[in-house]
Amino acid sequence: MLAVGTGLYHRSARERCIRPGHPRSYSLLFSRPVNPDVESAIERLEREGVLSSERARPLARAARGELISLWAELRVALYAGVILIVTGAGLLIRQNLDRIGPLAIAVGLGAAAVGCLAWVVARAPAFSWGEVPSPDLAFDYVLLLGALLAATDLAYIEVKFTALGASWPLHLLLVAVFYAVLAFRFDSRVQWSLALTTLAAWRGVSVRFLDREPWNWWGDPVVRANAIACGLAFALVGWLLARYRRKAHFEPVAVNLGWLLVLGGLASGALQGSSQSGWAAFSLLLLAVAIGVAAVAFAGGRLVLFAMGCVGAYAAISRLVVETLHGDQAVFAWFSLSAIAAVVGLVAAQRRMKGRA
Amino acid sequence: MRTDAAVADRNNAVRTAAREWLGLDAEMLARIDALYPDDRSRAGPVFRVLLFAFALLAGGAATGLAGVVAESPWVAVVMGVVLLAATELQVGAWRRADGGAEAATALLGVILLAAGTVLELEQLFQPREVVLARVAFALAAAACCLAARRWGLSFLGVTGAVALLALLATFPGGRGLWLAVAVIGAVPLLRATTARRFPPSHRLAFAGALVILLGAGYLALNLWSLDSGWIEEIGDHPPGADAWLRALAVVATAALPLLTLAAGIVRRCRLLLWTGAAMAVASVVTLRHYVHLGPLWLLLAVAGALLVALALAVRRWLVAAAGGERWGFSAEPSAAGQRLERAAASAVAMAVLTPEAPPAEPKPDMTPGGGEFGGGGASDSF
Repeated sequence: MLAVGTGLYHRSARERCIRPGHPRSYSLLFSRPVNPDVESAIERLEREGVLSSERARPLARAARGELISLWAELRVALYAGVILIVTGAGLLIRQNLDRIGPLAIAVGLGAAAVGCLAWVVARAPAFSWGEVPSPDLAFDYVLLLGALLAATDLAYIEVKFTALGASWPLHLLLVAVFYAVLAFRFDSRVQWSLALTTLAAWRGVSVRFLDREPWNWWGDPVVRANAIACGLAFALVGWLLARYRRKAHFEPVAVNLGWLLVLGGLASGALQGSSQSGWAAFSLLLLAVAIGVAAVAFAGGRLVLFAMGCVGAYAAISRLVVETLHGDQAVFAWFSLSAIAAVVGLVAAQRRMKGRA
Repeated sequence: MRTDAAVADRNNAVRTAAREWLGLDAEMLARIDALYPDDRSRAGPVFRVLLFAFALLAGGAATGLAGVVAESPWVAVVMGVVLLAATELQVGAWRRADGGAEAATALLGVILLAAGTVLELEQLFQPREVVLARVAFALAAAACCLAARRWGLSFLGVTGAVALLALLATFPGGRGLWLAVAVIGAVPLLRATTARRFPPSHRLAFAGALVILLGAGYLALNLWSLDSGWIEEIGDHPPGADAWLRALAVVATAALPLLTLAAGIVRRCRLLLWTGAAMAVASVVTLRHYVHLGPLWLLLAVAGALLVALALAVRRWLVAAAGGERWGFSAEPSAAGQRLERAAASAVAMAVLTPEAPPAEPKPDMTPGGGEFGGGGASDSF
């Protein structure tokens, strides 16, 4: 909803366009109440003295559809624009590798990245360990564009000139550190998310879930171990950030992603075939960790973590139980009864959490 | 919709809106809550998703169990009825709303009822495939409408509209029917999205159906869709278009996004703005399909730069106006927009822009076409 006190009360387009004798002639072209219940409620709340006239006026305009904020639309347009530019840059390199020449590409990308980051540095407010509001609508997106172009340039240089030789995945570590520095200096949650996922990518753990089937995320034992280790490290970093109040608002991203990796890694071990050794141990470990995560999240009122814990615990229990069942009937019966029990349990948990709030 | 549920739905809309208003203290919110009581048990988005998933699993598994035990062709129909009765119980006696579970049982109930009836018809009369498809889509569309009306489940507006379009596509001239239903339905639906006589969840269902119908109307007139016969393919009809229809499609492909965007701006309707923007993207892709405007990388980069420039220009234009608004538009942040941005931006970045992980055994391929182009987020291998 729009901030109270926004602007003056202009005569609305709707009011201007009502013509005597044609009471509905404007209705299709011009705004009608977008939320009639809220509009009526604002009038009542004003009458009952809950809202002052000054406060009620802009709220009523918004409820009538006479004033809407394009803030979210502008942010989406900027985000989409940045993604298009970076994708275009990637295609440019791929399609014109031989024609343009490696040096021209590297210099061109580098110059574009430096230009973006220079603009960001010039506009950036002073550093703070707390939350810093963006000085400009474009700030976060120019920062993202500059960071992505710089990372693209680094990746290109590494592949083309093989600066790191056999240790070429190290460039992902460099990129992750670069992203993290930018995230802390310019207080960007998006950059912080990218820093963590790029660090995970360096260890072979792809968090691009859209690219692959859920059951095939981290099938390799080494990758699975890396996923669990990365997850624990992220959760620890998140805890430290909150504990020492250093960019404490970055904590949810680190902790949520961390436990997602830990639970996902354990689940990939638990869900491997019965012929594979260790599935039972993974299942028990998953059950213990998931219950712990869900319990702590329940106590702290952290819904996303609680959901992850519940799903992890259900997956672990089902894996252990289904192994002992024989026949379709038993399996169907297990899933139908256990899912009903889960629904009942979740409704009870939701009521407890709501009651506490 | 049940009267008590409709009253609670309206009151909930007020309570939700009040929590978006800046500057209200706890006492004011408590007074608003007292004036607009809500007797429903509602769940937040996280619990809603969890409850939906588990209820869907429970319903699906119970149907599977019944099928294995009874081995009767009536199982799907019976389970559909049972699940719809379970929905009535949740929304009625248990006073649940926005809870996820009732949405799952309603959706599964509608699907099972339609599918079960079709299976029965097939066994009894062995009709042609297309007749079965028509019966299934008609039943699904009708059941979605009735369920949305009875229980105020907004998403069923979308599924009902999709089922209706699928039904129409099975007839010869399905493209024309899509266009007709979009033309006939758009204005009443647009009115219904803001009509006081409907409770908020019904208005949301109308909005969902409106988007689907507008999209269908656009698809019916889109040049690429016409030439490829996408709609005809659904009903297994041969594609084909007269010259005049192609000419109309060329004009419509260009004009429909602009008209929709213009209507969105004039009406200050966010729904039309988003739909028009989606149509504009589809029209640009269509243009690119027919006309070689330049290399793809250049088009993407230019489109991205234009989008960024446009967003910045609009923002500057709005901020520079007296009171920070023009024509009823403002660039001031909204609480709902900020919350959505916080939730979505990081998730999108992680899912789309994160570099691909190197393979388990590092083996750099320095030649074009080998290694993965990590780090940049563009994710193009070369």
